[in-house]
Amino acid sequence: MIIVTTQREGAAIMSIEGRLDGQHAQTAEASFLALAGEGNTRFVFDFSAMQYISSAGLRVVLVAAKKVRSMQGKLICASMNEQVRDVFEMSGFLSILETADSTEEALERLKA
Amino acid sequence: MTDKEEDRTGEAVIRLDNRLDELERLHAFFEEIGVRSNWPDRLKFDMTLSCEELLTNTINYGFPQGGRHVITLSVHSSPAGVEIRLEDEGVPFNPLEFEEPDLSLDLEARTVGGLGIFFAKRLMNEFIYERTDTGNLVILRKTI
Repeated sequence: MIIVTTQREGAAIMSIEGRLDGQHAQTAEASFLALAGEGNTRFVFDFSAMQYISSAGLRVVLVAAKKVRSMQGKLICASMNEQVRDVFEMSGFLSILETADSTEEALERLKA
Repeated sequence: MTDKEEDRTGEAVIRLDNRLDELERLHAFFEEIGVRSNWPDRLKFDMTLSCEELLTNTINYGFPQGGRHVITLSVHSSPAGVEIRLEDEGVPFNPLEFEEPDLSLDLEARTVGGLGIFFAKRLMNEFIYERTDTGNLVILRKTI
């Protein structure tokens, strides 16, 4: 797993590439918490290069979504591939998280 | 039966230590079997996810006394389907007795407790648990 962080239009974009599984979940959570600690409240999780996610990875997204809500910020998960989306769907998370087809779309919505 | 389906027959075993970085080897193992046994991507994904969920549980909670322990995963692949046996010497844990997650809760109330086992049960056709003399055995079966 590789995490690339970009600041764009007042939002923090976290691109999580590779596998977000039991091995890498803690690192991803720490990266998110560091960004939140720096005062970021608007986030895009870019999943375009994510190959795989398991429940350990979903936990990180859930922790982030709760934290962002407590900061009255916003988090959008963008560009899930089909298999990653199926895991989110199976977990029921699609109904409690905001998703977008692309990072561009997510940024547009964060501006609004 | 096509040639491709005949090729699906095969056996493989991997022994993993109770460390989360062993998941790297788990993924490589399934990549290799997937290619060798002509598994469709979907099948490879479902088998990998189910095994990762069970392994992560075992690694995190199976050995409260600490120390190095081995978890054995064996795969039998045939044109009809795939059978996986996961054996550990951890504390007794029957995943089938674990409470199912409530998927209808809102964001504040949701947790991921039990989600991994729920995935494995949902993705497999059969999920069998056996308490052995030395530990736990889970058998997963997926028909193709």
